[in-house]
Amino acid sequence: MVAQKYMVGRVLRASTRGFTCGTQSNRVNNEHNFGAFVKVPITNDDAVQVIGLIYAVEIKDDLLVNELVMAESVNSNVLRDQRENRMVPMEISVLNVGYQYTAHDTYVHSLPPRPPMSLSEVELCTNDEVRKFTQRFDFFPLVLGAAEVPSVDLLAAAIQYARWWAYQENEHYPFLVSCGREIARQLSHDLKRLEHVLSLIRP
Amino acid sequence: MALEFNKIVDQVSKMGRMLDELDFDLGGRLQVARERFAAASDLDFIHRRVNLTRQPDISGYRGAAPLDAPYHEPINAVFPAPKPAPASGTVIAADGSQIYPNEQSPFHYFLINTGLFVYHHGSDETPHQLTIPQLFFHKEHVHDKSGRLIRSRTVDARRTVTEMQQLGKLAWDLRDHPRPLIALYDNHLMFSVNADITGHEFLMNDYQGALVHLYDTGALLAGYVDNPTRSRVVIRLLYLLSLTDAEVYHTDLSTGGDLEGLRDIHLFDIILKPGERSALMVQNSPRNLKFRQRGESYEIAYFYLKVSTGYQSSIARVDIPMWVARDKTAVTELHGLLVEQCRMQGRNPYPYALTRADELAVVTSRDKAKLDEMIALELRRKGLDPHPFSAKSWGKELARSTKRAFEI
Repeated sequence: MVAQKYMVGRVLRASTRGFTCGTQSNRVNNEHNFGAFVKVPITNDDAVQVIGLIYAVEIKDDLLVNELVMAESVNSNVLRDQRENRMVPMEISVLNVGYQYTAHDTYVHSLPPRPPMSLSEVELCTNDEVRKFTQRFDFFPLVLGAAEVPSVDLLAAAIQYARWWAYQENEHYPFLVSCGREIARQLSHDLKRLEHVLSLIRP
Repeated sequence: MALEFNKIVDQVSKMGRMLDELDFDLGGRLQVARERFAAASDLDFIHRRVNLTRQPDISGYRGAAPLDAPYHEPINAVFPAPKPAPASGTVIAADGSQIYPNEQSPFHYFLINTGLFVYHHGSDETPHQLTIPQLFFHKEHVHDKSGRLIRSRTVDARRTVTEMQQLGKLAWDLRDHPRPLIALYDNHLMFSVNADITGHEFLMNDYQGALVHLYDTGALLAGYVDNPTRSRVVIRLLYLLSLTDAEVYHTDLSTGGDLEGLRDIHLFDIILKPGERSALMVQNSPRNLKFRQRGESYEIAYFYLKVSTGYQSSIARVDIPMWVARDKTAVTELHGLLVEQCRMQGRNPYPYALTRADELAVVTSRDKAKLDEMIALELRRKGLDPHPFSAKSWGKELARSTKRAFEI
């Protein structure tokens, strides 16, 4: 259950379309899954939170890591040092799909008015927030229309994420069917993509 | 304006022609050096010859000398990598970086950042790391007696002293950790401060004090000099040994004589096999004599070491104080652990702990910009202008700024 606060990272760079946040590679866990829903306050306004989907997780390297990879074996202490001590950064890229007015607990499925500020804390959305956000599917076009991301796989991953974390087991089937219908409507002109996404969310 | 490369093409070509004329063939001299090295097994003779150069009417010999008996080793001895290496031990490494003071800055300061790294050899414990940044801004630190801003060389000297002090403190804190406790320093140990450096006497005393602290911890201190291209102390010794007693009086001993051009690294690259070390030696010099006069345990000895990863090998000069050099077991343990450390970095034969200490210590230009911002903010809070106008600086910024393209 995602009910408490889980920090994903801090914003490195951002636009209204999306943002990238960073963390240390040793902190990678379930909070950084592809398709996870995350939130971060927009610049100079904590009352509005951007809602986004993680679409890429990249682990950076440097020449020392490269050198160690070339070794026949890596000493276990060196491995621990590299993973736990060294600041090998990990970048998490997020596609903005909506925003939330926290005061009224309302959600808008469109691009946020402003991007988040650098170094803002990015958190995982709670189950309740994911559930509320996915009551409507108006954010699907933002995902399907995003040329810079693997849109079909991202949408399917987000739906599966919402299904498992925000809905009861008896709600899974109707939720997936509703999603499927909406996707069919939006991808009626592109049967190849439609077939692919439906195969990924089939109950 | 960018460098006009068309105007230096001919100059580069001339440089290439000059290279053709230079004698890069060290082969003949190297063979002679090798033969002399192989023959240099008579320690009594070598001691007598080096003592001869210490006569008041002979000066200029800055070459190698064997340790005093009974600690001396034949100059041409070669010692294989100890097998097995110590099962456990603690390797600590220190390195430093700095931001030099800027005359143009409205507020004079400098920064020394020391990186410390602890590697627990033979244990599952994760290595530890630590950085100690120190900002110096008091007028006594940043100005000399005449009120002028101190020079970069003073900061360098202070950084060296700080590194050694921090190494001593950390060694003391870790004195209960598994032995041997190796304290690695990334340079030679025969530190000296010229008289033109601000506070040179205090700095030298502080450095010596740090050595005493390290001695008290029982740490095996080692100054690691990778690829010592300038070092030619053994070459000078081999030249000295080739002279007759009479010739010693009338020869310039500060050179390598007929072996001039050769460096110790050339010789030991063919003498040593991976993992092997040379004999322990000391440098015959007034500087080392000062260390010895401070106390017999503080004279600096050294050995050459060929480290290897299986892909690449490298010659290093390892400086050790006499309290380590006189302890055969300590030298063997140090030798073994250095060989192990140099195998940990993939293909790069260099102590892992030193690489990490350097990484921790380094202050990038980005870090400096951030620190300048923090200081500027503090100055603004006090009502001071952090960036007084400098036409020269501003002109440079304008002219060097990134060119922008027209975009729709």
